[in-house]
Amino acid sequence: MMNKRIVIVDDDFLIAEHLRRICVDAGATVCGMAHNASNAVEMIENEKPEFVLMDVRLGEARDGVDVSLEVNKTCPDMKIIFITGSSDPKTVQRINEDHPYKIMFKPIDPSALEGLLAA
Amino acid sequence: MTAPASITAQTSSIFARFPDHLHRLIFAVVTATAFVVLLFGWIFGYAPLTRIYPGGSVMVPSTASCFLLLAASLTAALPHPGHAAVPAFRALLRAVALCIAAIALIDLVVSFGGIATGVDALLFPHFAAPGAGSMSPATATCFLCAAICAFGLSLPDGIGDRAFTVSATFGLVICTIPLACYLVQPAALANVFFMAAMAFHTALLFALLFIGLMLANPNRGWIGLFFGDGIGSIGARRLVPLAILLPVLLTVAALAATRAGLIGMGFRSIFLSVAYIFMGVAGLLYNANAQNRSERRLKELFAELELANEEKSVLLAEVYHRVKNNLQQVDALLSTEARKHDAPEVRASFDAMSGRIRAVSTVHQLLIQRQNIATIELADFLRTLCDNIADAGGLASRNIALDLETDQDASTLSTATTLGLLVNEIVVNAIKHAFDGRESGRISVTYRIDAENGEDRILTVQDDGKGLDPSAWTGPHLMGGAGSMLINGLVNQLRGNIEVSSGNGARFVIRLPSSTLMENR
Repeated sequence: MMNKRIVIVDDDFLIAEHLRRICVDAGATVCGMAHNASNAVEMIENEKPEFVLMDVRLGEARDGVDVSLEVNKTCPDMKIIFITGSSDPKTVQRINEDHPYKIMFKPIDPSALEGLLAA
Repeated sequence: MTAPASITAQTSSIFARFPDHLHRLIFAVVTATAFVVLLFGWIFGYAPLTRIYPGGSVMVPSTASCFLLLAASLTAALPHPGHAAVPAFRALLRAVALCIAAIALIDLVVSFGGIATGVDALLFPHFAAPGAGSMSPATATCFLCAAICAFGLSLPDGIGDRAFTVSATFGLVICTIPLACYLVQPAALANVFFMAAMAFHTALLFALLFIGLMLANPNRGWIGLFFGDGIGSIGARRLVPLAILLPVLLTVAALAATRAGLIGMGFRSIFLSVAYIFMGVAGLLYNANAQNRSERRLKELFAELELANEEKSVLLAEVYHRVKNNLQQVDALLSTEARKHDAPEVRASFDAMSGRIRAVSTVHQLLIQRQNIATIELADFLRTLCDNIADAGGLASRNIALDLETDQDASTLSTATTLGLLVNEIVVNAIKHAFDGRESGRISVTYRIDAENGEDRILTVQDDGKGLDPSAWTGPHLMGGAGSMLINGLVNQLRGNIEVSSGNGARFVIRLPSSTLMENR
């Protein structure tokens, strides 16, 4: 129904896979899945997807916001949806250093994500 | 660090017990001395007892009687530690205090009014003669102060504290002046009308009496400051002996120097004033230093606490983060499992489980955003929960409204979780079944504090759908599915009860006691 191209960045395999299935069910194409920051930057810059589903913590020094800030230099219009487990003010403030398309808190509601992708 | 702390604790416990025995001893000494002066000095006529300081003034019978009465009734009226006061003795103490105040006032009136030399002259003609002795105005003033203090002690703590403190301090100052004169230079008293007639042992007994009065209840007055274990009290205990001894020694030395003709009286006054100024300032600075040190230490401690608190907060946020991540993992696992099944009812079951997991996680989502993490605002919580349910159920596209009205209230996390699951279950059930074949619908959730008793909380979920069979939802024979079982179980967990009715749609009314809100499971 919508042929949107999506890159998923999450260091947790289970969650990344879950997100992938939601996207596929919604009719989108998942053109890449990255589990760490440097892979993520490379993949996003190569694929130039319409949406990125971005985890904040990636289990290393650089987080999802760093990735987002870096790819914004080459692709400023990319829609980056942050998906995070922590809703504490610091994390939200950190995410807002970038210009997120949307922030979602885990565990996410699949239909809400589908709605975002369809918009 | 440990050793000084234990020494301080020991010292403070000694000082805490000490006053209990001391004021009794003081009152006993005053009673006995007054009794001896009255009996042997006046009744048996042994003069050295009435004029204990050669060349000084006499303790007249009225003064000795007042001491005897007051100290004896104080001993009787003040309870032993751990014992209740006897009301009759308290009444006696009040009567004695009033009586002594009256005697003191009469003495002041007659001596200042020039009617007689004092109250004794009114009773015994012997005392009308010049030089026979009288109750000096200073003695009468001290008795007035002591009577106020004694009366204050018969009242409950907190009543008349200021009058007690002022009277005890004023009395102590007045009697200390003649006492110091007797010790240092008795001739100095000679021409002072106000206190010349105060005997040496009268001044001494007054000093003891006022200290005893303050020790009788260290919570009143300032004497308790000497027995505290704070840095201020430690400083006071160290400095007070010096504050008494140094001026006395200095004054004695200055007087000796005058007598020897080394310095004149004018120079002596100026010299002593300057010396006292410097002593006072030195004391103040000593205290200021101690206070600054203690404040510095307090600031350090505060900073340490703040750091520790910060670390704890970070740790807690980390735990909540993990919880939410784990819930997402569980949801992902369920979703993986759900894909194995094609049957719509099985998929619906898995969807319901996902919804419940998200209801539980709503508590954590709100929790991390808050400063106070012990409780959660139910209005915010239910609002977020209902918004999430509305999004997940696609209510906007189905033309179903989900209204929420809540009173301001807070609960623990575990109770909020249970409440959230309950609301999720009932609302999701309504979304699924209530509006079959309808164009639109309305579900309203209200959370109210019971206006009648202010104690109970009433949660109502109502829809305007097709209604249901109430008997399937409550009672011992649960005819409904897992949903109704869950609802009844959750209501029991909240220690509440549920009423289900069906008229224009279904109506669930859950009543729970407010005590549940603060429970931690």
